[in-house]
Amino acid sequence: MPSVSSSSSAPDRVAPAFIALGLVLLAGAPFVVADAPVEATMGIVSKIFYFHVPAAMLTLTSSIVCGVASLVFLATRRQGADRVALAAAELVVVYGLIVLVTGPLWARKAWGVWWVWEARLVMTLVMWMIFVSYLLLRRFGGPGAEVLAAAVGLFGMAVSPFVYYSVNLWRTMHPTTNVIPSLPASMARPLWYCVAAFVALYVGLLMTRVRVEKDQTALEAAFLALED
Amino acid sequence: MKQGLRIWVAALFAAAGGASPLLAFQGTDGFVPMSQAPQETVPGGTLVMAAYAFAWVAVAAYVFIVWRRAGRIERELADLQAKIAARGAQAR
Repeated sequence: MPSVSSSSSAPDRVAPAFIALGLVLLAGAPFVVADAPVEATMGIVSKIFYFHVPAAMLTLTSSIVCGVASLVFLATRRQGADRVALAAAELVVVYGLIVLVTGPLWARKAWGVWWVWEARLVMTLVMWMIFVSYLLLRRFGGPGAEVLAAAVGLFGMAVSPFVYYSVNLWRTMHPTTNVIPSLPASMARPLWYCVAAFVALYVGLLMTRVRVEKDQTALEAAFLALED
Repeated sequence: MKQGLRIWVAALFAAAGGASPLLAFQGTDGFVPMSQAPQETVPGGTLVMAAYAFAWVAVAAYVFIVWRRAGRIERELADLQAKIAARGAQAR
C-alpha cells in the first residue's frame, strides 16, 4: 500500500514568511520611493527605475540559478535540481515580464518611443523568449522533455552575461552598468529597499514552487501505486 | 510666351511659399524662449503608476497561481490519504 505524507520541512515554514515579507516591503515601496529625489533630465518617470532594476537583477540571477540547476540535473539526473531549474525558469518569465513592460513605459517618456531595437532591449527579449520556450517544452514536450529543457536552460544562462554587458560592449541608448555604483545615497537607499522586497519574494516563491513540484511528483507516483 | 513665363514664375513662387515653413525650420540657428511651457503630451506620473501597478499585478497573480496550485495538490493528497486509509480498513 503506498504511503502519502505531506511532511513540513524548514523551507516550507520559511517560504511563506519570505513571501509575506516581500509583499509587505513591496506595498511600502511607493512611500520609500516618493522620498527619493527626481532625476534631473528624465523627471518623475525615472522612478520606474526602482522597480525596473531590481526585477532585471532577479531575472538575470534566476537565469543563472536555472542554468546551474539544469547543469547539475544533466550531470547527476537528480530530480531536486530539475525542480529548482523549473521554478527558476518560471521566475525568469515573471520577473522578465515586469522588466519588459516597465522598460518601455520608462522609454516612452525618456526616449520618446516605446521600443528601440538596440542591443540591451533585444537581448533581454531574446533571453526571456528562451525561458518561455523552456516552459513550453516542459508543458508540451512529453516524456523526456526535462532533459531537452535543461539544455535550453543552459543556453538561457549563457545569454545572461551578454544581456548584462551589452550596454558596455556596444554604445546603446540604455544606461550603462556604471549608473548603480555611482548613485547618491538618497537614490541608492530606495533602490536597495526595492531590491530587498524583490529578493524576499523571489526566495519565498522559489522555495514554494519547488515544494509544489515535489508534491505534484509524489502525488502522481502515489496515484500510480494506488492503481497498481 | 510671356503668359507661359508668368505662369512658371507664379508656380515657382507658390512652391517656394509652400515650402517656406520647411526651409525656415531647417535654417533655425537659435532657440526662441517662451514665457509659458506647453503642456507635456506624455504624463510621467501616469507612466510611473502604470509601471508600479503592472509589477504588483504580475507578482500578485503569480503568488495566487502558485498558492491555488499548492492548495489543489494538498486537497488531492488528503483525498488520496483517505482512499488509502479506506482500502487499508477494508483489507483488515
